[in-house]
Amino acid sequence: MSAIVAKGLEFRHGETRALQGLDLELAPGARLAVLGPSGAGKTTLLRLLAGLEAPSAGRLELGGALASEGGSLHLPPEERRVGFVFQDLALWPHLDVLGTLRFVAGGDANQREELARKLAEQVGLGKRHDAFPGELSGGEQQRLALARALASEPRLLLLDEPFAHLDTSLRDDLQSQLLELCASRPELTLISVTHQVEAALALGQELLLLEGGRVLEQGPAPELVARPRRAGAVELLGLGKVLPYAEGKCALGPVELAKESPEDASAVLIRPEQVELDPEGIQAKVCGQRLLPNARWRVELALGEHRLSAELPQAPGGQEVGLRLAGPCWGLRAT
Amino acid sequence: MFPRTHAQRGLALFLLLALIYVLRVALTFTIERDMGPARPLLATLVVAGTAGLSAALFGGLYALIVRRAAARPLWLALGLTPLLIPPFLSVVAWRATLGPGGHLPRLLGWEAGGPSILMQSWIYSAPSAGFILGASWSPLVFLAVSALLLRLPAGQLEAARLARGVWGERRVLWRALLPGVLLGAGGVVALSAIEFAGPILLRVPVQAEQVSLAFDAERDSAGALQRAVPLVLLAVAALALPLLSWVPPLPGARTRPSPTKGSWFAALGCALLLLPGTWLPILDLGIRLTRRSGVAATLESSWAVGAGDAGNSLWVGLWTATLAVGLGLLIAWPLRRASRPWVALVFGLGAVLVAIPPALWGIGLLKLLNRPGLDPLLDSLACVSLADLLRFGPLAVGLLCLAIRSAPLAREEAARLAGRSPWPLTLRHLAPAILTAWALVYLLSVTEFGASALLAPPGKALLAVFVVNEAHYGQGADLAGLTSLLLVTALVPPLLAGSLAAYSWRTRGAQA
Repeated sequence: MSAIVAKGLEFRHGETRALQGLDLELAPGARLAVLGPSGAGKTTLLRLLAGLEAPSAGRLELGGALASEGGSLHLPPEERRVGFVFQDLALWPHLDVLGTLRFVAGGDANQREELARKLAEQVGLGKRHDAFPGELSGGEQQRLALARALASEPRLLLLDEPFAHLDTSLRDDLQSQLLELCASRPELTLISVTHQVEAALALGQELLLLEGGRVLEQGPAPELVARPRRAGAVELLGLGKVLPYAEGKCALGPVELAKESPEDASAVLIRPEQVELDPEGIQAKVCGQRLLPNARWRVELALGEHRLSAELPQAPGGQEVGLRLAGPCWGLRAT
Repeated sequence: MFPRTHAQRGLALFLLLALIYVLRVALTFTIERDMGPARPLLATLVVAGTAGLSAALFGGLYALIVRRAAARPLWLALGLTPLLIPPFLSVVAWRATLGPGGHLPRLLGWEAGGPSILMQSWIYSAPSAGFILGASWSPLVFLAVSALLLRLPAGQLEAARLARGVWGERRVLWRALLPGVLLGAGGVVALSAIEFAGPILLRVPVQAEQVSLAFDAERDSAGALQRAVPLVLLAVAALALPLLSWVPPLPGARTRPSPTKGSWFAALGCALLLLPGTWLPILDLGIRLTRRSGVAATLESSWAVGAGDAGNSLWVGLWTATLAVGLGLLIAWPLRRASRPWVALVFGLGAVLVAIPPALWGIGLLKLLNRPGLDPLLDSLACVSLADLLRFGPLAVGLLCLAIRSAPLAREEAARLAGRSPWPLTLRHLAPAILTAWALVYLLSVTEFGASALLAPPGKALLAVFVVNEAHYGQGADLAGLTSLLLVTALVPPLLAGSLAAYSWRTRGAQA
């Protein structure tokens, strides 16, 4: 039985269509990352799944039971067994760590106490039982929000930009902790919403790319990264730049299309690592450059009206550089 | 609710000791004249407690349902009206509507015994006085709860709903709003504890009246002070109560009112909650004005009787409000970057000043000014203005301090960096608070009774004192006209100031 089945899910907010025609099916234990720019409908999708909003149209089933249909909620939020980590965390300022977890946990008083202590320990708050949210650091607050979402023993865990405001090391730390917690709950389906590609790739086995309330692309993460179908997906995932393609050529000269590229490709994906310096190649103007953590240089280039990115072992010396392409490129259909 | 910091634990101990002291005095106080079975301090506790509870009920419910009401802006504005009507006028209307021979018993034909006797015994009781005072001051709770509702992150309620359903959401909502309820209700308890114009109109002997009587009848200022101490403790404890439940708010996306169409049922609920504090006084005034010799004749005769007093009240109100705002700015400005303990100290002192019974201010100023060189002050309305300034000035300081401290420093710095004076920006930020403080102090000064009754010099009577005396001792012939005159005097300047401020605000906004 699928954990989630959504068909034609739509949400209108006044005249604005926050989400339209979304189809989604996830098996129990799946991990989906929803990626999209601001206003793409990511948070709306989570709120529809949690039952905090009723869809304007479409049908949603959770664990085989009808949860929402049309404009009505068939399953209220508290009966959906959903854990939600809000973007602003929404912790309760008057409850300490254990109080928060006890409030959410089910069972009798002893069971609640036991579960609360266990979860606090699991997320690394074992020594901060009596601390109130206002007394916790940013990372500890995130941990408490995560523990609270897990305290109701949900079958669906929804994360709304959970690590957006954290520094990189803390974010990586929390991501691995989250994945560990999910691994110990094999039936738990995880949906995380983010606008950071790294976070999406770290948390999602599958990706759902949204733009303007519509699904841009959807599929297993490695598949989408290796073989995106639309230019919008390339931009969203930050895979590289798209150049028009016709008759075996692009602005960089002749191009060999990668195997399995669509036959009717009208554009090619130029990944930064495919661009190499060649004094005798096509001349491009250097627009900007920055050092990457792997000690290579990301160089932004202008090629006539087109833009390119290149990842080079060293920064180019002059204002102009010669370029060539290394290896076959992935072809894309027109969007 | 349980204290969790050392400061809160210390405060809890103070509240407990204050309560024990007040109860001990209440249960051992000697009754010095026949005032019925209720001892004054016990009656005060009942009045203040009932007032706090009814204010919490009326104001809290209003804040919750007005967000869902149809025509919400209208009901938001109407929600403040009970605060604009002096509480003793609500008491007069309460008595005239439900008391013996009142509008309702007459309408229902209960004039000859029956339920009216039961009603009469209840109307003239401490719980009844507390109920109507609480309803009159319920906007304090409404404002405090509304402010918290505006700041409450929506996710906190949604998280509770997901975890524990509707009841879980209500538990979190209740706990989030508790500081607001306690703040508003604590203010109402403090005000009710030191108020006696309302209770005496319902023949309820309260401690604040005892303070006044000790000096008025016996010239015993030491006795008056002794009787005032438990009142001050009670009022300060009530004002401090919300600190026990206070927790620092956490940031988050704010709860917005539902975009769905407002409910007329909720609007009806709002209208019902305004019944004792707004509709009854208005209805009573309307009946009184039309019952006798016609509206024009009533107003004309009242003008002849009360015009001079109205002028005096206007003078006192204008001076007091202007001085309070000026002094408030002088005191609040140095506090704009002060550390929290300093601000807490100023607010604590302010709370004590507000908690002192009005009669004690009157007695204190009479003692202080009754000496060579200062006695001209006693013969003028300046001493009334001074008493009002000491009573209500702390409210202006508090409001201005909050506004000044909330002004973003970055705006001032940006103006300075751009080579501009930051004053226009600061004044623009402070304008609403300055006007609100001015209007509040003006309104409270014009309707003040306790200190004014003692301090008003011979030949310079004040309208509020005149109205209370007319309602208490008089036949009520001029009451309708005098009440109208008082309402006009009390409300027109603040409303005019508010309108002008709104106009200038819009104009400045358009230019910007």
